[in-house]
Amino acid sequence: MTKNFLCLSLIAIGFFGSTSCTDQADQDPHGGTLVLGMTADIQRADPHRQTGNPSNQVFSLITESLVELDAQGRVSPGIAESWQVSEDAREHTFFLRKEVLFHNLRELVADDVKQSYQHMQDPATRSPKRADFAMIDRIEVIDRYTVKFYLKEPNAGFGATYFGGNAPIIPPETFDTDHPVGTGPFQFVEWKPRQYLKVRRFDGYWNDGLPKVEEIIFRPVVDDTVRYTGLLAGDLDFVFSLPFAQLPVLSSSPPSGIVPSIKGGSRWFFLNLHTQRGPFKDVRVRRAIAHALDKSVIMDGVSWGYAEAEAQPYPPGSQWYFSDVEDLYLESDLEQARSLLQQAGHPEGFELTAIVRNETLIMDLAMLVQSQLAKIGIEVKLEVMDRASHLARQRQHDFDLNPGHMGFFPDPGEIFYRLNHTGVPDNWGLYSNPEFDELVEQGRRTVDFARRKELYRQALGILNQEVHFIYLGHLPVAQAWRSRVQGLETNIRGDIAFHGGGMAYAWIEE
Amino acid sequence: MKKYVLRRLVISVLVLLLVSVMVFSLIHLIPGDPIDYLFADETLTPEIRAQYQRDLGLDQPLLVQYGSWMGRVVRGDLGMSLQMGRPILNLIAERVPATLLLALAATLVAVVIAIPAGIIAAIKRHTSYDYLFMSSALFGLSIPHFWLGILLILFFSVFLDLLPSSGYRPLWSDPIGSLEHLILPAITLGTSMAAVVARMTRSEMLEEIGKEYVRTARAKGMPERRVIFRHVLKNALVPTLTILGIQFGRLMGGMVVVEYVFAWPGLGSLVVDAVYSRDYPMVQALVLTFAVFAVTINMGVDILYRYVNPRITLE
Repeated sequence: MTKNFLCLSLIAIGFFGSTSCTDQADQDPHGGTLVLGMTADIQRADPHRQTGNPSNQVFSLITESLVELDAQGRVSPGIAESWQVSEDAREHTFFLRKEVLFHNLRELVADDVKQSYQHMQDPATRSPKRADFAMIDRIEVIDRYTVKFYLKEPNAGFGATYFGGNAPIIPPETFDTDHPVGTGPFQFVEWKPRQYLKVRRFDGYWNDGLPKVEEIIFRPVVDDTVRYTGLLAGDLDFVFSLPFAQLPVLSSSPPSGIVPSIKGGSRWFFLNLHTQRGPFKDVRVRRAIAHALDKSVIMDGVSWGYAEAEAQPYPPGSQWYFSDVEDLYLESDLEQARSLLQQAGHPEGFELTAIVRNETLIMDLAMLVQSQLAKIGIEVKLEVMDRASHLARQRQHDFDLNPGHMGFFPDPGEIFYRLNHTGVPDNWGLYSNPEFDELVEQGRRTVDFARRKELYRQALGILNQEVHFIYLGHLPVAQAWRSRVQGLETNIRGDIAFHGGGMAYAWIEE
Repeated sequence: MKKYVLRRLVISVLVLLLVSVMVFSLIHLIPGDPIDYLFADETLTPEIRAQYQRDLGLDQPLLVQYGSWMGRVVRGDLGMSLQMGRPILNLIAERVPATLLLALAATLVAVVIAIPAGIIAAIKRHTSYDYLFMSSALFGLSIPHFWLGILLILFFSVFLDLLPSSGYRPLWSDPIGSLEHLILPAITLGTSMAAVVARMTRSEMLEEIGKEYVRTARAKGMPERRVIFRHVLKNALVPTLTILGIQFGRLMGGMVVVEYVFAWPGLGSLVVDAVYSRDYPMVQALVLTFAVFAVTINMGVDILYRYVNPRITLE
């Protein structure tokens, strides 16, 4: 609208040259401004101190990491062109791209990688990413373009965790400033908190010909419906996270000028059961819960029919998806559930408490679970609370039932170990099984992909038998953009920057 | 007058002290702490967690934490936001213009709609004007902000393409853009405020119209217009002014729903985000700031009474 207005103004004051605005746009697909509707504002402009998905999305266009994810969430080259993992999975060597420039036009070299990681590890930085880097023992610069990480313990999936905005490599001369400098396709211009964050094309970007648009403005519009309305009004060109209630109409008859993108996503829904409290100590009770649930109804209910029930954390299309995993609890089997409860000595059912984060999706999930468990006499008391309270209750292992959803981890070493291994902080339900522990430890020590996949396949089999986590299914990625945005794709996580696609590849067609 | 202001100032300091104790206690009583939120996506070992607690001073007894916070506050240091890592004073200063602009605009909308509506409804009591204005006021009072906001966006932004759907522009850097962005949130907020003010104006006007001095004025042959505007309205406006003051103070404390609907960068969303993230120093500083606003506005309104109605003394 602004551009049209400018164009008309130029005509009106007779300041118009031989080339019209429309002609200009036609001749030059490399230009224009896109306005992106974000689900939240960034909290900090310092790449090493920011956290959370909305921030990661913004910073993924400004900064880059050693590796990136591709369309299906596979680990792919980023700043590092290639990498090697030692046989014992303790040494990870990354070979960097040459002639990668920071936005201050200085070349990125191995020492920048080392210093960036050390800066995030430094307690004084108070980086939210610090705990993730605790496994790094030391970092060695082998030569100008080669850097080697020595780990305290084996971890074959080490590199996979640090993609996108998770471990940005930034020039040491810009540490601790609020003007982020990276090597990404766009350079930071300005941030007006709660108003907008503006980035501009970086002409020195190593990937020739990219990016194609001149400027991107991120605007935080917290409410899903308002964000969608902003897209309809033409104030926004792209929106994250459409309201699911709009999906049936939007996918069957999209409004003129709007391109909906609704596809299978990677965020997975779960029901986490405490394994050391009350009746849940008995695996038969946990299985009874799983049998009582109708996963298809739950996933339909929370996603308006846009999600399939699954029995694993990785979605179809991911390299870590196990196509041969049988879902033992796909259909609701109330007789089996009642019989298991009877065997466990609870024929009349019992009461339990679920901690529920005050987020629509999770509250919907909790209410569906509550109504389904009532059929076998289990009365679920829902304790609805905000995120910080919920995080504290998880940390204190203070719940019976914990419904929720979780994002995508590119390596199963992270997801299986972190949530289920005996004694780790994020094992909220205090699950413990030496056989499982051994499998995931082996998985961390094993470099060979096929062998690792088999190990995690076995580990998943145990989890599905022991029902510490009931995997429910994956949420769709629901985004939309205006039809003037061309060449845009997002990946399985809904990321706007990934290997081979994203905003850097998009252009504007007026 | 000076004595009055001085006494009010002393009371205000005591009120602020009480507010500081209450907000400090309440935010620390809520389950969860800033570390849970700040490091929500990471796996924190108990050792790293303990270290962060030491760094942030959260391992100290509450009384020590309160004392050290108040010590900084009286020196004018509101501290740093744990979540945003920036000085709280700057963060508040950034948001005050947007909050003030919207609060003033909403109050203006309310005054422009409500006072004439209240006057007409009172003069034309039990006529269709009265019923129309008062049922509209009831409607305005009952309608939720988020619903009205979205309806206005749909109508003015999507269908008519007249106004931007959300966002904010500073008045001094882009006056036209600023007003364009201001209209819909100001109407949304002003509508409910107008409803309250219109009902108050009407009832106060009716009360004044029934008084003997009005009868006397009319008996003396004073024109009706003069009776209403010179005498009745002036007296009826005192309680209306109180309501406006309270409403304006409430708006300065943030207009959370409207801020979220219109992506308006005001103080309301700042405090809600701070509570959610358990940003203790931020919540404390903001609530204290709101208390300062409320105390100042109330005192200002009290002083204003004297000018509206000279019979009121401030002793």
